[in-house]
Amino acid sequence: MKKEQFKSILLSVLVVLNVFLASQILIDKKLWPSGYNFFSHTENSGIFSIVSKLFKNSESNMISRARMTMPERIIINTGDQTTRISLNSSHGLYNQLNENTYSALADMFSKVKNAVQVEPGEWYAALTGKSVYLSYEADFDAKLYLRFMGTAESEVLSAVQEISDVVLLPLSQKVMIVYMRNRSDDTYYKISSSDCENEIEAVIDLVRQNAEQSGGDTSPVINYSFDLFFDKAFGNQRVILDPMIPIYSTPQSYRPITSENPIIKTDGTVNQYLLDKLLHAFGINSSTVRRYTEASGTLVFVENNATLKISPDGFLDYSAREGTNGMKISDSGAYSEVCAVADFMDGLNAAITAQKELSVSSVDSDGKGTVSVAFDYTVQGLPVNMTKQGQAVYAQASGGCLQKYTQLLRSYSVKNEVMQTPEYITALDLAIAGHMDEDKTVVIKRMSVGYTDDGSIGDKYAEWHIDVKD
Amino acid sequence: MSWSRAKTILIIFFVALNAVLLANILYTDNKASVISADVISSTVQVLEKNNIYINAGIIPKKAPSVKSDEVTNVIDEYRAFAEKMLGADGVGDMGNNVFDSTGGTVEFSADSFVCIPKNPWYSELTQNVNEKNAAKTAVNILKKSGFDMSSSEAVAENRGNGEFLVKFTKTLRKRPIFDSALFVLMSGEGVKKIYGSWFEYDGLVSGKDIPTKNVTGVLIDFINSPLRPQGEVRIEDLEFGCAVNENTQYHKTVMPVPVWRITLNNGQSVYMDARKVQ
Repeated sequence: MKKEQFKSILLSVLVVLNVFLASQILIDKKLWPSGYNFFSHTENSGIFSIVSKLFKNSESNMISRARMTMPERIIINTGDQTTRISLNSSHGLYNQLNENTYSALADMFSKVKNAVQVEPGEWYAALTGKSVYLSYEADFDAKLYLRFMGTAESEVLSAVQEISDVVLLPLSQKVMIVYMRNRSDDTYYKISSSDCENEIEAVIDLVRQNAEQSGGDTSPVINYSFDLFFDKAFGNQRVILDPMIPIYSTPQSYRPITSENPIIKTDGTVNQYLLDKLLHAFGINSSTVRRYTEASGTLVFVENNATLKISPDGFLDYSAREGTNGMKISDSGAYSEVCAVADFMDGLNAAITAQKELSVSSVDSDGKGTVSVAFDYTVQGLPVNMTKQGQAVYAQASGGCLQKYTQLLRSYSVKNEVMQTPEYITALDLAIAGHMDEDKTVVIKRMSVGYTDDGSIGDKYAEWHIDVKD
Repeated sequence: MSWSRAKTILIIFFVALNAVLLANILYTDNKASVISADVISSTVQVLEKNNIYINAGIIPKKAPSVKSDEVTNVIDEYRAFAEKMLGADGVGDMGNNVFDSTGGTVEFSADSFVCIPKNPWYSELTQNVNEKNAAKTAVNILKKSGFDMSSSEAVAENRGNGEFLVKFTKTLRKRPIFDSALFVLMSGEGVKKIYGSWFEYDGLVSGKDIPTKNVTGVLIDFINSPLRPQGEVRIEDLEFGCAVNENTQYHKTVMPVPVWRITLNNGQSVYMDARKVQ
């Protein structure tokens, strides 16, 4: 009996060993005649790539492209000045609202070809009616904004240069007016259509009902700054607010977060597996690249066209070498390049398990073919403000090539506790008091809640962030 | 036929099959790393057509395998290293990467240093120094100064006037780091100067080998290399090693790049990158 058991075990071992040895011959490239490898060849074939695409969730790698036109905040103006509701992307109804406004805007931009400049009063009047206000973190080049809205060409472009805020004012299910604001020169534009299918009014009612029933996770807004004349200087007061800064009635609830560097741990340990994936994303072969460590502990990878550095605190800096084009990511053109940067960033973050949700914070084009785009991490619908680096991701592309890419590599986990920001009015008073002594008039451009990340690893808390106009 | 007998037959069959597969793997693996005589002969012909002459016999017939080794600079930080060489007390920063104390001066440039004692050091070790024991004496001196001198090759040179210069070259898996060397200049009075750069083995960066070109591929690259001298040249020697690029900037750690050193008849050495860029 013992002998039979031994034979059975031996036979099993031999079968496993046989499978292992056979797989070595099949998979190892140099064991094929003339270096030919069937599997390697099939990986590059069209059929294989189609099959792999079926199994690969391509949408997961296009998160940022889809988020490009997602407003940082949507404010529902119910028509009643004391009932305005502010939603960010963490709210349950945000996606539905965003989809509705997106499709209404896309429809509008595809049909309406003329924008008319209007007085600020008309814009303010729209905000007191039953409307939806979309507040973007970035000031979009109008041409680029419309491309993201699915419109290739439009005469709207000739009048409007930049778009930073949008108001949708539905008059019926078919008639709608869209107002656009250029924050940089404070000009306002209007387009209207009587043939624009939309469900904006219904969604406004839905959000209002939801807020009344739950009373919970939305943020009530009493007024905009212009309602209270905070956008006008009075007496000795030299601090004025942008007219569109919302004034909140209650403190904001949030959950603290904890940051982590996915590549280099606090004890200096490098996650070699993720590092290899990161290098692969930049087209760098980890086996052949010249690599060294600087005195500061920064890892440096030098290849023919670019240098990639990762500092111990997780700051990644990819720079094309002078006289070279950098890494090819797309066709030429601002739209293609911004999309490609967003896709590249998503692919990188997915590969190294970094924070996947990012929102565009600025898009600039120098008019000579170079486009710069910056992103902020978003957690729980709130942006993460980088006090040291300025932005989480910054990329510069030209001629379809990535020339510069920086990112503070971070992953965030949400803590299981709820905290509240300071009172809005207290934060506003502190901001005004902080600038009272200045000789010139100080304009507060933006005031919003966001997490603060100073680049260190550990717990991060939300607070009011105030941007002052230069 | 009983199941017991069937198992015996299957065991014999799988033992034989596994033996064949294993032999095939070992044979093909070995064959893949060997450069055939035809390839060498063709390479020599191409080189000759381009006025480069080489004795086919000096071309290695086996492609080297290279591990992704990492080395650490003995200079962890300029000031800390200066204090290590001169003693912790009274070391002053003179600017421009120069550190000074009553014991001597240390000057840094990228990965290199020059340490000059104000009075010769370790005279008790060097009093009987001669051409035969110079290398061993220098090793003892460097060990006392905190250097790891394992895996290194030493060459001693008699400079006359009782002075000996010992050059150390670090080796990684018995292959030299071509562009890094440590020098000790001494006489019977003691050590007069220690200079150069030095790296110590740190471990593997990853389990993957660094893909390298065959030497024949490197020789073909040499034809159009900007490093190639004008006119007719003869290759006298070929040696495989690695380089850390020590002159450009400071490296705390570095993964040396595999290179082939081509020694020409005019005495010039040309270093060719051996990495296979994929």
